[in-house]
Amino acid sequence: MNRLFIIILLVVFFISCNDVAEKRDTPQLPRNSKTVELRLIDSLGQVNLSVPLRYDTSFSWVHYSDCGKPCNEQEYRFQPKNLPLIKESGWMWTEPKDSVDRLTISHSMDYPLHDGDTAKNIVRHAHLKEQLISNPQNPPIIFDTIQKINDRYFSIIAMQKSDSIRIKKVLAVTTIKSNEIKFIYELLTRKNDSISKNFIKNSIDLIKTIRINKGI
Amino acid sequence: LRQQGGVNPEQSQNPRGSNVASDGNVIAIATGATKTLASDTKSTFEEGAAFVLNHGAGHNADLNHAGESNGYDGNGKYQPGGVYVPQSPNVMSSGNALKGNSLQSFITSPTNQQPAHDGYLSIKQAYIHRFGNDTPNATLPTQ
Repeated sequence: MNRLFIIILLVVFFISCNDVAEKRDTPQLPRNSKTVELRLIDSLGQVNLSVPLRYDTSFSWVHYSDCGKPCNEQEYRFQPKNLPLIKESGWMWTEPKDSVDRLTISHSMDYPLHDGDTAKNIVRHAHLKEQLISNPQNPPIIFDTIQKINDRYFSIIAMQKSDSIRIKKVLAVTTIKSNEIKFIYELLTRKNDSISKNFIKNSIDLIKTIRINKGI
Repeated sequence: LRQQGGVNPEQSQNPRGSNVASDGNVIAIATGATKTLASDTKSTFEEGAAFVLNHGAGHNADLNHAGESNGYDGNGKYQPGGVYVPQSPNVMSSGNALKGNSLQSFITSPTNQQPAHDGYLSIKQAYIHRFGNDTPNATLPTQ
């Protein structure tokens, strides 16, 4: 009888351990969000991530610049369709001053493949910060970190400025075979609503859902 | 859906990833777009054209834009740990970084001359690697 009791106890224990492991592997979906799947060009990879429910339209394009493929960027964007749909292009272009609420994913059109992209890259993180600071149009950095998300290290940098226009940006950068892939959430608005108040926190939560797989 | 902006005062060849041996030799200047650049940067047309010509030469020398990951250092060697083009302002600054600023601060920036340091490549070395280091001779060939 005692032996049977111990066996039942062990079975219950292992089932509960298994349950805990599954919960850890399945992060809770942030509120008011949906999961989307994005295939990067040329089998570079497949990105699964959650985006806000209000992002009801998506499109992709090539941002052409001034030196051919190495300067051109493939961009993928998610945003509400009631806001202006803009595809930036050129070496110089006009940045919108208002009515922006979007996620843009981008990578260079030139991506030589090299191994060695998995390490935590403190040098890259420092350079990203310096690049953001060197552009006076960016709001001040309020938070930055390097975080491992689904087995991949991301540099995460949040910026914000509150004036008559509230500007909030959260940039996350990782690499695929040593090529940088950028995820940037941007909000430019006059409103001080819950979207604006929680934008940085929500964006970071959504970034934590990024999974990149099935890549070359 | 709108294409936004799209001003390209210069178009040049970055030979990176190309299998064509002659790539990396062309710089084209667009006069209308250069006028826009000159107006946006409080400079003359000649200063704007000279800047974008030098900028295009940087692309010919395998350089990306300021602050970007370049992969290859000023001597054309791949750096597995990563190597970056020095941060703006310098000759490789991208167009939007120039807007509203004086071109002079980009032309005379010390980062154009610096040796490689702290994960940044040397812009000057990349130019020397690509174009050599001969004494300039401004004499135009005559027939």
